[in-house]
Amino acid sequence: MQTLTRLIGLGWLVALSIVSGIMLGVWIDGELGSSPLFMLIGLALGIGVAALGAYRALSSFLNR
Amino acid sequence: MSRPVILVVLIGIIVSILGGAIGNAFGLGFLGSPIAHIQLPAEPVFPKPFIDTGSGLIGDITITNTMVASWITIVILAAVTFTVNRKIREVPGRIQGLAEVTFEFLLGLARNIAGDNARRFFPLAMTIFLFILVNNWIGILPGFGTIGWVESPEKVVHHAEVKAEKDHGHVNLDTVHLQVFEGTGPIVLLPPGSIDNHMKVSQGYYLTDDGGLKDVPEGQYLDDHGHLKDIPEGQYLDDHGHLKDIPEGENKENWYGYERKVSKETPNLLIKSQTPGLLIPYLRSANSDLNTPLALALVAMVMIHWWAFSTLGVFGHLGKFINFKQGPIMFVVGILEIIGELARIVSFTFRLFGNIFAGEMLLIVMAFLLPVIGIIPFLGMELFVGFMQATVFAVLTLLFGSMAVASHDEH
Repeated sequence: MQTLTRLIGLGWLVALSIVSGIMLGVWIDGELGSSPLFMLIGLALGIGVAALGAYRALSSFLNR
Repeated sequence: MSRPVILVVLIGIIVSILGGAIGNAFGLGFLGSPIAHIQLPAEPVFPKPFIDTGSGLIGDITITNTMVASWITIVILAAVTFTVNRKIREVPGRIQGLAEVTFEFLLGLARNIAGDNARRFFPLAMTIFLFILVNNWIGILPGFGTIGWVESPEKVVHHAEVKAEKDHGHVNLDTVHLQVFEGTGPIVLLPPGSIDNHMKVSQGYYLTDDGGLKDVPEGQYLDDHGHLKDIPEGQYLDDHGHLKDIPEGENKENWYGYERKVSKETPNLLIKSQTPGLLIPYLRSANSDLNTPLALALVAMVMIHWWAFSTLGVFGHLGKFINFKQGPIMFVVGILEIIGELARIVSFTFRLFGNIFAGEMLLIVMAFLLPVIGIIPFLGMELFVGFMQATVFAVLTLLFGSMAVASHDEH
């Protein structure tokens, strides 16, 4: 039950981490005027964090 | 099934379909329910704000119909609790039996999920379960969304203009729809009859230069540029506002112009005793307002973290989120946990809100398409969805709580 709980928030976690990465990048771009450099960096970071989160959530099933 | 039962069911379905919008399309609709005005934010119960702060930051404090519905829920729950608690017997009566069944259902779930912590988490989970369940179930009672006060067309257009200004757009009167009522008062029912009782603001009304809204005077009409003009001799306006010739032999007195024509063939038109406006219901299912699920989610998450802090200590719990000791990977994992906590609040909120709001829309549409009989299965489904969402919210609170109090090393 506890391991299954980790999967519940997974969809929102992926969405939120990518969106928050992009928004952070857009904000830095707006401050520095370096569009679209930091937006792409934020996107890459967000996807990376999302992938890590998904791996962590699924690892308990993968190792079996 | 025996033959008479099949016959009754068949007749019911046919009447239901013929009486609804499908029948309406062929000119046979006689049971069609009114199209309620679908609006996302909760509507105020009183025309004026309760407290007028006059500040743009906070905004006005209004009593909304979803607030009233949740107050009714609180009163119901308090009354039932009081009645059950006053006379507890060995052999339970009907109300006590219901209360016991409800408690045992969730207490069993709590023991399965939270184990030793079940007794500690149970009060909050049970409160959330009962509050959401009663809110969802009273939300589909008759009277919710159909009894209210009528907002005048001027106010409706004003709101549309304020919204258009916010979106930096221009207000298009053709998109502003009104309902038609037989007289107005403090208590008005949504008028029966389906699409007949709708009109657009641009029919029969025009905007003055200072942004007001006025009746088009008798014998005049609005041309394509929005200017008032006299209706020429021997012509009249049809439903869509086009000039047409009055048929030969008809008395001119019967053809007032499109907003005053009294006739069965043109039901869209206003007659003298009718008032246009928009129904603002006094009651609406509390969870169809985003604020109620958000408040519940915040209460649940704050309590979950309170439990975690009191079990693991301040540093024990914070160490899950801000972690410098075990290298950079664990630091990123800590950030991940923070995003995960935020994601939980969002998913708590939108799961409940989405299900209940979608259910309300489904009932409105089905009441319009398949009135009287076709809607019954969907009412049953809404009962089930309301129960499921209450259970899911309570169970997830228990699950997240038991995950939060588990110490860091265990997983």
